[in-house]
Amino acid sequence: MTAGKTVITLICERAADLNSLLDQKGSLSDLPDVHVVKFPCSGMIQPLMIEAALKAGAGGVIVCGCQIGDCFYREGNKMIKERLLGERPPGLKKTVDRRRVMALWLSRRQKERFLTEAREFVVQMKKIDELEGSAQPAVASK
Amino acid sequence: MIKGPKDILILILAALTLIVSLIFLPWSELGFSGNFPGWLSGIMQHLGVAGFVEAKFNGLAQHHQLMELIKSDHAPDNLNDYAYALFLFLAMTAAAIAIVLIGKEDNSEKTVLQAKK
Amino acid sequence: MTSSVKNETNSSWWKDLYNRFIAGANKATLAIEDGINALITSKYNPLYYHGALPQFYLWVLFLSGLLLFAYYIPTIDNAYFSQKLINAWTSVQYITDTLPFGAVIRGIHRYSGDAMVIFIFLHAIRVWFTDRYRQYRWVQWVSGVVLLLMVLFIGQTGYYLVWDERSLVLTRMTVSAFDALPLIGEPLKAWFLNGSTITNLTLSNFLFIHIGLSFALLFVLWLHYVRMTRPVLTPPPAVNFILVGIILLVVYLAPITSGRMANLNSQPNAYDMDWFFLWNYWLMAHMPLALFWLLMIAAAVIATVLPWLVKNVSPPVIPAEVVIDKCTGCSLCYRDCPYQAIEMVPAPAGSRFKLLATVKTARCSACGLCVGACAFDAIDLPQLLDTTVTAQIKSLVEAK
Repeated sequence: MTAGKTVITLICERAADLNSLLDQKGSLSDLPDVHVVKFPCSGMIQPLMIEAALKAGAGGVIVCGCQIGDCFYREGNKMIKERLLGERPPGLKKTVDRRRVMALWLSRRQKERFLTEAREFVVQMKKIDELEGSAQPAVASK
Repeated sequence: MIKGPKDILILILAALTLIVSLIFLPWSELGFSGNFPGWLSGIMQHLGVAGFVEAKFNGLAQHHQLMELIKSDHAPDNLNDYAYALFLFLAMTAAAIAIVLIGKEDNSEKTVLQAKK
Repeated sequence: MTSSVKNETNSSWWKDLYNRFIAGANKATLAIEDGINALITSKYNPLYYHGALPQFYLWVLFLSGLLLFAYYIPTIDNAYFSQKLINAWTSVQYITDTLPFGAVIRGIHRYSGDAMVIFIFLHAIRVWFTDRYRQYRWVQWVSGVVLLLMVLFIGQTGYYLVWDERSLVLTRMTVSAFDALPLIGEPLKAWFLNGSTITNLTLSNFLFIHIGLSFALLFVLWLHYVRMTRPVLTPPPAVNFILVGIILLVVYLAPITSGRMANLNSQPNAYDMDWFFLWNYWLMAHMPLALFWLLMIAAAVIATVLPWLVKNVSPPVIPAEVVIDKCTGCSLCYRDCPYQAIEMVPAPAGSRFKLLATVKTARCSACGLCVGACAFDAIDLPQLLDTTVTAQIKSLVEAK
């Protein structure tokens, strides 16, 4: 049973309220492999940060912003969504394994939904690791 | 094509929109009768459907419940205009619901990236 | 020492109450919106277009108003009750009774106005409950208050234009209300009546105000939108269909008729109330006019200064800062900023680049979208450097 790789969650302060789900170290109590990093707005998330996480050996990255249409700062979640989909610069490098990135757009009350999706994501990432051998880095080296 | 109850509902709404738009809207404009303008009557006679359509239109006026519903509290002078407004409301609402059913993105809360090969 | 502690507790109980109220209201709003999202998804949630809804009704009002304007005659003559009488009232009757679809267009115009007031209030309330009206958003809020006052007054002038007995009562009540104002009362009356008594000039003045102020709305709307990039102006077409459909249904259910033609020699005193536009006349009728004006002015002032009345609920905004050495002038931050808070200025002579970004600090919300847009690490939120965050992410992963 391979030790789970870290999954990084990049979440904005007004999206799903995870405060009650965190332990003292800032990871989810139910999913200790999932560490949570907070931003004032999901639009602040740089694709560089996602690349850095995966290059350092993270199993996956979850990006979480508010419901599309309800960003407190109007457009942040749309911005990061378009950046991830390659519709807006700057985008993710071509070498990033896109299976390891998932984005969620949840309102403040939807922490249970977040947990469900995070759980499923961790399982999926473990499957990818087992299928391809966890020695394979998530960002292809040149 | 038809995969589930949602698709059936969309078809029903589309049919409703068409029926209301093509039958009830002109029917109310024509004063709840088959009094088509000359040019339209001519075309329909040419196609051989004039008698059939006129009879159907005139027949609608015999439905007393429908006529009572339309007439309630409306001045007889522009009753057909108000009825037109009602039918337009029905058509637009049916169309809007169908559009929402077709267009709603069930995965609006989750974005998964396409793995490039 | 003790007294300062006491003062703090005393003055903050109402702040506490207010904050708890807003937190509760925000939660309730979220709950309703979550419910709607579950049904029709966020793409069609009308509450996510709360500003665009009244904007859409404005277009309906312009179009229906244009059609009515084509047949409306702004005169009050009723000296001869002959069949050939042509005045405002008979022109409205002609539109309602004789013109094909005229009654429906009149209904659409009246009820779109009412609907617009409802949706403006819902818009204002949502913006208030979700705390999106303060600090860098003050221009939107203040212009919004001005817009609301204009819309309410435009709606009232619409009721004068029918020139039935209600219009006469409302006109006279307005004149009395202006009478109660010191100094500016007389000039206001003269402006309103376009003279010293009600004449044909008065009604054409009402029409001018009704149409002129409506176009002036577009200017204030520009101010309302100017501090936002890509403002959401239109709901999706499906929502627009429903918006128009609702009006059509109400037109069918509640046809509009005019009261009796106004007669300057009569003294009517009763009228049907429209609670969206004529509520202030109810107030005028039920309290001394001085108190009425005090209330109206106080309400308008409080509404206008609301963004500054509520303080310390959230930390002050620390605006973004450009790192001039790294900025390449690519303009991505300028494009992405939601509040028009970044400007591209010509780079100094000798620079490799043509443009440099600069932050207009009064407009900055410290959201960080510019940081997300920058591939050169050339813009930062001082209290949360992206390099710090990236390092934190790396250390979290490498700690395994």
